[in-house]
Amino acid sequence: MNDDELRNLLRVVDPVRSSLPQGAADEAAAQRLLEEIMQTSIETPDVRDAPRPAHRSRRRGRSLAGLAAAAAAVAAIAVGVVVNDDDKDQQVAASFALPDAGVISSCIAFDVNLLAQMPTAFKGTVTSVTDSEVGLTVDRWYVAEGERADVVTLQVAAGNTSASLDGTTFVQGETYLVTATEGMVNSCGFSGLATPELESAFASAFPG
Amino acid sequence: MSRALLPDDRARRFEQVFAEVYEPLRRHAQRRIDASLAQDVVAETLLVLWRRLDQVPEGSELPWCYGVARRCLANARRSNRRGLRLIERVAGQADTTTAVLDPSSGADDSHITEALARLSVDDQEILQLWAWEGLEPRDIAVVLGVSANAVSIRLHRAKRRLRARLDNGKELLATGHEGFGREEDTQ
Repeated sequence: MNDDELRNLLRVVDPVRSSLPQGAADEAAAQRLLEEIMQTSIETPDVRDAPRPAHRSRRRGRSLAGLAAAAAAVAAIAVGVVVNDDDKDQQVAASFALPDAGVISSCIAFDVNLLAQMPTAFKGTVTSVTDSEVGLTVDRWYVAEGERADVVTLQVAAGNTSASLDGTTFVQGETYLVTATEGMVNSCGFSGLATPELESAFASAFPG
Repeated sequence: MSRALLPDDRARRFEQVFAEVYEPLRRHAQRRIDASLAQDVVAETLLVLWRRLDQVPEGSELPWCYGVARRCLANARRSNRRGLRLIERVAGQADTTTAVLDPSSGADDSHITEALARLSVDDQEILQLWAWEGLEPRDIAVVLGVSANAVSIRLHRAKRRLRARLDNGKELLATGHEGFGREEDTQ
């Protein structure tokens, strides 16, 4: 079966395949939403997924204000640095916890000055990904508490079904820049895929 | 990254992008969550678009919005367990499927839904973006926040696993006996 045939098969079971196009009522609702959104402020602190406009909404369903994400700080769970003396390669291993993807939290704005204060920061390449953990070899350390590990394991939080951070899953072979505080990986942009932008931020935060 | 937009430019660009993405976003959300929650997801996504308009790459506005919607959908599902994706309901309880299946689709289509539903969540997601949203790998890369190369590899594997599932399904229909275990267990 070629790609076109496969795609057509999938389209047969598209849940909205036979949904009707928007009527006048739907278009009016869209226009109202547009106007409501454009009245909201863009100056409030950065929120990951659902910002908090101050005004009320006449929309059906929850008000715009009600859609705001619950506030929660990036919690820290103590996970010790594990040194595996039995490893025949004499590799130093470390383990960190990934944040619980089920915790809705608001993010502080990304700031290189905050990045520079992270007690743990490294660049690593993913060697393995399962639903419960991600294995990385460390390409370089920027700053470490204690011994600088050769390999790192990131543990998926209980109840989470896949290894992800900020909504994106880890991919084998990709390189990531990671910061951690008190045993937990920092999200909200303080860890992520090693894009040129993030590389540049890390280079600024950790000179030399 | 573009420099900050002046207020008039910002308003104009937002209106333009809103018009382009609103209907696709609506359908995107309705495919993946209960109708009662889908509109909230659309509104949340468009709020983020308004606030982060300066950061949205030109030419990739819709995939960028799908990327935001992805996080909003995840949040909405967690906070409301009734918000099962339509595909989960279709693949699951028979008594709830008749309302969501296309009335013109035949009984044969259940094997497609079955095959899709038995793939991993990641496989289903990438196949849906490819088939239902009609996205190319470079746009799927924007949605998922990974490289286009990683998308191409993952998409290729997901298609292969789906084809295998569909072939197994045909065997099941023909012989009443299933030959293989879950495809993702053998990867």
